[in-house]
Amino acid sequence: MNSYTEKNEHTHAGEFQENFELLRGVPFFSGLSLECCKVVAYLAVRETVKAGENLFTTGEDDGRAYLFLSGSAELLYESDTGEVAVGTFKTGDFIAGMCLLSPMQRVFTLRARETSTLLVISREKFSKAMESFPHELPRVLKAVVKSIRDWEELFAREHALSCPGCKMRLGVSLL
Amino acid sequence: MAKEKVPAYKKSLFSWLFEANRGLQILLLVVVAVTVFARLLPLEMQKKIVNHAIGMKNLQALWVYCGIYLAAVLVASGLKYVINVLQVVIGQRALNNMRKGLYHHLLTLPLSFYRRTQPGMVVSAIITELATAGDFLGMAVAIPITNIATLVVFAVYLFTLNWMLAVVTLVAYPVVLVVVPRLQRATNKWNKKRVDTTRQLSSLIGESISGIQEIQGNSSFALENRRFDKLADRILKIRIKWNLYRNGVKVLNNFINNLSPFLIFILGGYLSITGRLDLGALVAFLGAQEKLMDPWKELMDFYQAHQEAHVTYYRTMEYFTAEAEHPIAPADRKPYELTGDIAVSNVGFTTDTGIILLRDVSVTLKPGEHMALVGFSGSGKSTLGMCVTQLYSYTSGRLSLGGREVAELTKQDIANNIGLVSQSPFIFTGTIKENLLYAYIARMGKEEPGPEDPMPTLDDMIQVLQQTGIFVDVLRFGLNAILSRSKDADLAEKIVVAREKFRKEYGEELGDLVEFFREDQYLLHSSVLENLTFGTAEDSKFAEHAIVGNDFFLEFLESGGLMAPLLSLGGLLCTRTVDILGNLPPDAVFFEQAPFTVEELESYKAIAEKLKKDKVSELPDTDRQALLTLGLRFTPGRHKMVSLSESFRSLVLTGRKHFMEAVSREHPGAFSFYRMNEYIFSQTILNNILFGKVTTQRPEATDKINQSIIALLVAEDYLETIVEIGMEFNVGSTGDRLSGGQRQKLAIARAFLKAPRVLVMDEATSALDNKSQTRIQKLLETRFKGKTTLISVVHRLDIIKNFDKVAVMKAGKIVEMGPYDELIAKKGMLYELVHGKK
Repeated sequence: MNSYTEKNEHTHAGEFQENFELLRGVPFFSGLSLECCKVVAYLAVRETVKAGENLFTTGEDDGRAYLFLSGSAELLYESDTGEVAVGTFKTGDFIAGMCLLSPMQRVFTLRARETSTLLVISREKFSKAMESFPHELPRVLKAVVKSIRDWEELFAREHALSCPGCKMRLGVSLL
Repeated sequence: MAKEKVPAYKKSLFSWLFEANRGLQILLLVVVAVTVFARLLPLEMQKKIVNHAIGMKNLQALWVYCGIYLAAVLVASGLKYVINVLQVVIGQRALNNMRKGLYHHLLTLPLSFYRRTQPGMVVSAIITELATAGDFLGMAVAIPITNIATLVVFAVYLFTLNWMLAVVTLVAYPVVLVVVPRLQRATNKWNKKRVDTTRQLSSLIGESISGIQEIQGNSSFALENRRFDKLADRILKIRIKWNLYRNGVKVLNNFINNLSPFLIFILGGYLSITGRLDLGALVAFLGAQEKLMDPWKELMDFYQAHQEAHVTYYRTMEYFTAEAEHPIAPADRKPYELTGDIAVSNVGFTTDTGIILLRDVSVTLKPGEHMALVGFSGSGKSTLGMCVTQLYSYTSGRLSLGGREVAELTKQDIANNIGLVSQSPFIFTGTIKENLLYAYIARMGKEEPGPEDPMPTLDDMIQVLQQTGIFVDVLRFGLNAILSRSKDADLAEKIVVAREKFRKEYGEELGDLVEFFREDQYLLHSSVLENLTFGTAEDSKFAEHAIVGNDFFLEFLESGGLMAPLLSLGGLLCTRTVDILGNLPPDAVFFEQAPFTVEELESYKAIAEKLKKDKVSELPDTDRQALLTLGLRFTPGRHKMVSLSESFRSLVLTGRKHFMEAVSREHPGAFSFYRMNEYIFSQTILNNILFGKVTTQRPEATDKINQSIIALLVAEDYLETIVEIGMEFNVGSTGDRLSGGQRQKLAIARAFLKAPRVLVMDEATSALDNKSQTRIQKLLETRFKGKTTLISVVHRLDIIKNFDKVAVMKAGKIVEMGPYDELIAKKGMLYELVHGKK
């Protein structure tokens, strides 16, 4: 039974349906069955942050993955000499899926650059969903492994050879 | 406090009976004597009715004899009831004493006992096995005495009627006395096996439940099922055999009982026909013989029950044959107030099974000195801590506390001087405050502190809450509490005042984190019902669960055009939620964002099924009511499977105005509406201060709100009041409503509040985040050093720099000891631990 398309005088499909469709488009979740993805979409919540607010900070284990629905945020690395910006995320980007799989302390800090809306999934809820659908987790792992592999291939081809320090540290896909 | 002189396991079964019930027993004996007499009377009347009344055709006599007969029957029945009541009271009292005695005993048993004992087994022993013995003890006096007396009286009566018949009737019983005990011995053998195997099964269940995480994690269902099934099958066999023998006894007994009338008919018939026995006597004889059956049967049952109780009782008590290693409280003095110096010399600890956990450990600590114990796991760090706290009894060497040998101290001496925080501290079911005061009160050695006992002040408690960093959590519990209209009216009034200040000072800043209650706005984080009524029901007929059956309200919905949209909204919520959650396991996490609870899932599933073919309007009334409930619960900010339409929103807002008018007109006082100057008793203190609801779960956002609230409470001087309310928060069964970190903080606070001279912390901060861990470490260094002797088992090496001594342990020995800097400079074991092996 699927009643999402049902029209009603006083209500329309709304946020849940939108979340569901958005998550279907994220590679991390794309392997999930419809049933399971529906549950993940249902468990996800939307949050709004203002410019300058941290979504997570270095060393913290917030256990949350984020999909940017609007706005943008800056990824910062805390070096000995201070914060260094190492990247930006914007509308449509999905970030930190790995931390749904296991406890993990953040290596970076993520700070909103403007008022941003995010779809947030917590590890607690995600693992409950995975427990209920035991066949789905391998599909997620597959997606993670593929993205690490693809990332390294791209990195090796486009950057690593031109940067001697990076060349020596290649091999994250061999973990 | 009752002093247990003889430990429970040493007592005989019958000692429980005579211990507490002497008065009742005497009463019982009197009642029994009267009963026996009352039982005999009808027989005599029977004879008289047949011979004197019927035989002589004397109506007058018939009335009299029948009257006496009836009175005797009534008295006998009444007394039987009295006997039963007395039996129950005696039996239950004995059982109660047995349970208490065994429980009091087992709490004192050494930890080594519990390493081989499963909780399930102990539970089954105290609850189930002892009940058999208790039931038996209830019968233990009344049954044998009543029945033996009855038997004797009836036998004598039979002999007076006709000695020959009497001999024939009674001749079969001695046979029983020979055969039954033999059968019973076999029964006992199987009963012993039953008790043992049941105990194993209880242990197994207990183990599986404690280890459920491991079982599900490893998916070892088949493995565990096999273990259980095997044992269950064995119990099946044992129980069947046991019951076969038990029933054998009963069958034999029945046979003998039924044989007697046969003999009486042959002999009695012969005597009667030959004129040597009158008919009345034969009737009386048959009646008396029949009445022998019951007491005899009861005696046999009693015999069996005794055997069973005997076996069960001693088998159970045998298991608990162990003594406390140390007396609980000193008999002839107050508990010692010891100084905090600790001297350990050549201490060793070997387990019952011969495993050496500590060997030749020596260390001395002056009062107020702090020592860190480090080393790999299994090196004996915790064991040493346990020996100092007397939880383990060291098997060689000497260990003294304030100059007194620990092995010779009582438990109360230890509790009076030592505080212990273990790695996974136990939090008891109850409130934060009860847990906080646990060690403090226990130290007094009483069941309850009296008015003369000094208790920690609120300030003391708040101080330890702050020191351990659980203060903010407790404050949050307080803020989430719901005040009672009758008890907390004063506080409510003050909060309303605070509310206005809060709105002025923080309203704007928190505007996007809080949805303030505004009369002209639809509240996305409140339910449709709250949006409609914009208030709290004062009349129970308007309460949330009752309102869908309230005619006034239903009429109001109809006339406002709200009924149909609410029902269809309910239908939509029902089908969509069931669609998402219908096949998931019933875990509360899944239902946080759902309009119905785990418990309601099944009924809404059934409705969703009907909605596949039927329209909402075609459903039965109960289903429509359920859907209306759902529609009224709809909270757009939380239930995302349906969204709020503009037309519905304005319909509700119009409805709100009409509802207020209609209620004030027709049911004045049934609701108190949300007004800036009135406390809302259905909402939490937090929502009342905010006069609205928090719209996000984001930790940073809630932190920000908390900080503003704390600032306000401090300024208004209500902080303590709210914390006091928070301390009444119920932590759930074994603290399951607290996080691991909160549990640990509470346990540390519990030890701090007791302010012991010696503190033993066994990885006590392992579940805390860095910040909390550092705070507690700093506190120990500044506030406790020089005052409280500290032994701290540490696995994180970054916090040990400021300890007076660091002892590195390996394989049960201290291999290195001294101040941190010295040991590091030596580049020995500690250096290796800290910097890794080079």
